[in-house]
Amino acid sequence: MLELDSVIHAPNRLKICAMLSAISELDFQLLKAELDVSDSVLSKHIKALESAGYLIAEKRKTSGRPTTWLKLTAAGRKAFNEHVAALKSIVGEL
Amino acid sequence: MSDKEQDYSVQQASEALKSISQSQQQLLKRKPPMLLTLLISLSYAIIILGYGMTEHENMWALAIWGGFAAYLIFCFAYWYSYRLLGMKLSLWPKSKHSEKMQILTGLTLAALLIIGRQLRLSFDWSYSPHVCAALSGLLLFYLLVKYPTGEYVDQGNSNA
Repeated sequence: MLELDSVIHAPNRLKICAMLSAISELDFQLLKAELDVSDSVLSKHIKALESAGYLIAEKRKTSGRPTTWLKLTAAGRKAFNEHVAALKSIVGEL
Repeated sequence: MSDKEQDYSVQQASEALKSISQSQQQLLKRKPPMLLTLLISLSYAIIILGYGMTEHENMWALAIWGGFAAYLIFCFAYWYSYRLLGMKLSLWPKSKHSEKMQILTGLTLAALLIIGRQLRLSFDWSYSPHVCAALSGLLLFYLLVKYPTGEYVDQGNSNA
């Protein structure tokens, strides 16, 4: 039986995982702009995903400016795929 | 669970799936200029055409190397454009779906490369390299437009 993941279930965290699943790494600032949230709100969601072991945040310099790059871990990607599968089974697509 | 709760859950799940699809589509709207995608496809087509037409050291051999150099430069520009946009592409896809798609694409492009040359050499179909080069270029262009990051993105839920 497929189950929804309580960490990913929150709307903004679901969007974060969805976007990160479509790319290798994303800039914190880009994600903030896409979600239209404040730094603190996004940091809180990232912290929650990091604590669950679903996401890695790395600070690196890109073209001379400090950038925080975010990426899903293998566990995060698996959890997101299972969450999507659970959603599809509810809708009846699986 | 009552019917009402179940209906609500189905509706919520449907909205969540729609939200996933919309987020991904919105993100993927940010991409390098279409001209770069076109140049990558064209330079790849030149490699295929050059390989199909080459005879020892003729000018087509030069086209292979010219096309290959252009292909590498345009691919780097594509990757760097994404990086400037705040997105990093990986050389190898992360999901199983994407892996299958990449392997299938690689096999198709390799088959077109070999078929184009072999049809010309074995059956004297002089235009087979041109046809295979055009098909390869079109396939690459289509995939780069449809899946610009190289990751498979389910595009069937936007109206779910």
